[in-house]
Amino acid sequence: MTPNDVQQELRDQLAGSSGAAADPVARRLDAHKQRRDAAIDSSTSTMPMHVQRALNARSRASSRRRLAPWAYAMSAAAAVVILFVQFAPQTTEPLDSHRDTTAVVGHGLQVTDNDVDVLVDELLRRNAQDRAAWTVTERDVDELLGEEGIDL
Amino acid sequence: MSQELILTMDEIDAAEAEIIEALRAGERDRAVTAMVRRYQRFVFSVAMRQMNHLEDAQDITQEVLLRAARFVDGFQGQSSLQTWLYRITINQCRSEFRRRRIKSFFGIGTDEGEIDVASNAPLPSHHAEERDFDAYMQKVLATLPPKQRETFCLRFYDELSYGQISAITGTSQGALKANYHWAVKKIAEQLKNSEYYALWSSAHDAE
Repeated sequence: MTPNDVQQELRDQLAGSSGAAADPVARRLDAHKQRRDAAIDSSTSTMPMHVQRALNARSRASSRRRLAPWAYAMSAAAAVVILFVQFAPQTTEPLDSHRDTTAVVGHGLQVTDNDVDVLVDELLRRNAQDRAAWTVTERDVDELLGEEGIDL
Repeated sequence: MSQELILTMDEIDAAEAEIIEALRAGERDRAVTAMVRRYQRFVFSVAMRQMNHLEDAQDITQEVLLRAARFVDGFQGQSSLQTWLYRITINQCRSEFRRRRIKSFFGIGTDEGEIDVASNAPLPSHHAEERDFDAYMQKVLATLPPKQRETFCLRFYDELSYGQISAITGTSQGALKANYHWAVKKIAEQLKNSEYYALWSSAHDAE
């Protein structure tokens, strides 16, 4: 085997400092280095795989850390919406309640609408005849709308 | 910075050029894969020298490569990627030693806080004689001054050019060559005076 530059340099240095003893020392040092290289190759053979795995694991952990604030924010927002829907004061009456009310009031409204029309016609008629008759009295209301009346 | 410290284009090898090109093209995965494949041995070798423990060196190597992969987007190619990785590795090893000293001080965990370079476990090898010699070499290296030891290791084991070692250590190439020369001289002297040398000589005579 032809020695490389480093091995040759070692041989030259040994020859300069040790004379005839250089060769056995150089050969043992070369053999020692080869064993060391083989051991290092063996020890690092799976290193790329380990590094890649560790990188992937750290990447996943990093993604989780980046997403965590968003997840917390979304959860908090969802909780607020749920609480709002659950406990916010009702600004409109429930549909069924509204329907019931309409049903109860509906009869009265129909009557009342007609009565109001009659009242308006009467007032217009009076107004056309006499401006002073424009005033609506309790009696007018009672007469036109009946005892039940309507809250105008 | 002296002229010697500037890397030549030849020293920025093809793999490093590919990594930088992939980064500029936005292909991060390709860049990371190429970086790991190209430098895992180098990082492990440096970590092994610092930690003197196989599993620790593997852990450090993985952590260094992970860190580098996370921050490689910011790498501009103004210095060598190898230099960058070397510094991360050294810092990581120092952090580990600090952590162990603190744990040791408070009596937490194991008692492996201080690791003596000379007492390290050798890398696994097949034969007892080879294993002994490898362990002996570690002890020989531990007797060298730190700069000579690191220069020798980066040159002999990691096969870096003096330009690359200069970029990594911030030492001029002339000083590095002197360090290497003295390191080799001291190693040779110790080996010649060792029991191994007598064995080699007798084996050589028998041949």
